Amino acid sequence: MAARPILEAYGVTMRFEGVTALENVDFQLGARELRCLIGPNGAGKSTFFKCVTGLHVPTEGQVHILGHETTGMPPHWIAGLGVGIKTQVPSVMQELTARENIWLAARRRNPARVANRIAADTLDRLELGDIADATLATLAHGKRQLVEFGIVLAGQPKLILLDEPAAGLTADEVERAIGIIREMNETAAMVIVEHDMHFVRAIADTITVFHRGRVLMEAHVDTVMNDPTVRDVYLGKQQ
Amino acid sequence: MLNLRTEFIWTVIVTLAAIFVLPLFIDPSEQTILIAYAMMALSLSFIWGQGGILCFGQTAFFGLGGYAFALGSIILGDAWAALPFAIIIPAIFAAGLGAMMFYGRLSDVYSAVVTLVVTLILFTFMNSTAGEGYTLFGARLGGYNGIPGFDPLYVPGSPDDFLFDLPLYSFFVVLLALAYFGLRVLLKSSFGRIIVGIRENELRAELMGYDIRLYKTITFAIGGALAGLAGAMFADWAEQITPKVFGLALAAESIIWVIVGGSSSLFGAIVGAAALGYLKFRLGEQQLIDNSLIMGGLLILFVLLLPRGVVPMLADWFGGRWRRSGMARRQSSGNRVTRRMRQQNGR
Repeated sequence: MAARPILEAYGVTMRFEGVTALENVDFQLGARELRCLIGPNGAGKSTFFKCVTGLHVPTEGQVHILGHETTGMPPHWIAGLGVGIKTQVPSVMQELTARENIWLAARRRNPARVANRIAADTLDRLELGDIADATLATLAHGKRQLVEFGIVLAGQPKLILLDEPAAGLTADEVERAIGIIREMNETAAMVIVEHDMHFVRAIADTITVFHRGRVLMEAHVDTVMNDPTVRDVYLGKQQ
Repeated sequence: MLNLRTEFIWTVIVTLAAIFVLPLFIDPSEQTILIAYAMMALSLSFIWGQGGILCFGQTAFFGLGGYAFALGSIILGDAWAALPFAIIIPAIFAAGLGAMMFYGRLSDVYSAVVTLVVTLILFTFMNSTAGEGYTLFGARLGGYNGIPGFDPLYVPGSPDDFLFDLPLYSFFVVLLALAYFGLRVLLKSSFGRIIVGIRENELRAELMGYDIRLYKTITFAIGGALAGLAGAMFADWAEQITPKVFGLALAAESIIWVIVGGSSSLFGAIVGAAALGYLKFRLGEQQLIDNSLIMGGLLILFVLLLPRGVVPMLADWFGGRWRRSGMARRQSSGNRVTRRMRQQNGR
C-alpha cells in the first residue's frame, strides 16, 4: 500500500546527561500494522515509547504521527490526534468508577451524550458491566488493566501504543488481553512494548528488537526468535 | 450521589435555616464575617479538594478582592459598581499566577509554596504603602492602617441606606448559597468531571488528550474569583481593609477550616469556616489560652484522628446507614420477584 505510514521516526536520539538511551532510531509503522518492540532492560524500548508519546522530547530526530510532525509536542496534543496510550505503570483514576474513567476518555473528542454511549458500549465490549460503577481502587489489578484498555478504546484511536500490557496479568487474563488487542488492531495500528515472548508470538508478525539504544533487527517473529544474536542478547551472554 | 434537584432543595433548606434560624443563636451583625470566611473556604475547597491544587495563599485573592472593593468604592463612588472588580481582578491575577505555575510545570509542593510567598509579598508591599505617593486614581492605599471609611453596599435604589445587620448577613448567605450551588452544577458538568479526573491522575488525563495546564489554570482562576468576592464581603462588613488580610495567620486558618470541615466536601469547607470562625470569636473573649495554640492543636488532632474531616465522615456514616437499609429493601424485593417467578414456573 502506498499510503503514508501512521507512525514514522527518523534518527531519534535521546541523551540523558551524557547517557545515550536511544541512538539514531528509524522506525515506520503502516496502517493497521501491529508491531512489538522487544529487548532486554535498558535497551531503549520505553525511552522510544516516551519519545513517541511526547513524554520525552528527543534530543535529535523527528517523529511524525498520522501525517503531523509531533516532535516536541505535548502529550495531550499527540493524544488528541487520535493516539491511545497505555503506560508501563498502570495509570487510571483510582477514586473514580470504571464508567467515569472510560467516559472521560470518550469525552475528549465527543459531546457528553455521545461519550455516555461510547462508555456504555466499551464497558459491554470488555464485559465490565458488573463492575462499571465500582471505584477502581477497590478492583483487582487485572480488572484495572482491563479498564485501562477501555480507556484506550474509548478514545477511538487510530494509533495505539501499549507499554507492557501483559505485565502482572494471570494466564487467563493474558488470553483475554490477546483477544482485546486483536480486536483493537482491527481499527488501529499498534505498537506494543512487551517482555512476555508467549504474548508477543501470539499477537505479532513483525517485531523490532532494541539493544543498547539501537534497533538490533526488525523481522518476522520466527526469524527473530531463531537469530543467535537476539538469543545472546536476551540470555545476557557476553560474546 | 445526590442528583442536582435534591441538592437544590437541600441548598434552599440550609440557606433558609441560616437566614431565619441561625440569627436566633448568634448575632448576625457580628457574625457576618463568618459568611465571608465560609466563601473563602469554599473557594479553597473547590481548587484543592476538587481540583487537587494545594494553595497556601488563597488569602492573596481574598485580600486583592477586599482592596479592589474598597478602592473601587472610593474611586467609582459606588460600592455596587466596585463589586464586579473585586471578582474580576483577583480572577485575572489568579489566572496569571496559575498559568505561570502550571505551564511552568511546577510540582504541587512548589506551587503551594509560591502561592504562600505571593500572599506574603502582597502583605509586605501593602504594609509599605503608607506614603502619600501610593495612590490609585486619587485613592490612598494607606499602608499599615489600610483603607477605612469607604462607602459600603447600600439598598439598591436608595444610596443612603447602607446594608448592615440582618439584611447584609442574609444577602451574603444568599451569595454563598449561589456560589455553592453554582460549583455543584459546575462539578456535574463535563468541565467539572474533567478537573476531578485531572486531580485523580494528571498523567492519565494528559494521555487522554486533555490540556491539564489550561484546565488547572481555569480552576485556579475560578477559585480566585470566589476568594475575591469573599474579600469584598469581608471589607464591606468590616468597613475597612488592612494588609492583615494577606497575612500568614489568615492563610493558615483558611487551610485549617478546609481540613477540619473535610477537603473532599464543598459543604464541609463552609461548615469548617463558620464553626472555627465562631470558635475563634468565642475564644477571643477569654484570656487563658492563646487562640492560635488551640487552632494548631485542632489541626493536629484532625489530621491524626479525622483526616477526612467532619462532613465527609458524617456523610459516610449517615449515607452508609441509608444505603444499607436501601440495599436491604432492594434485596428483599428481589427475593420476592424470584419467588414469584418460581411460582409461575411451577404452575
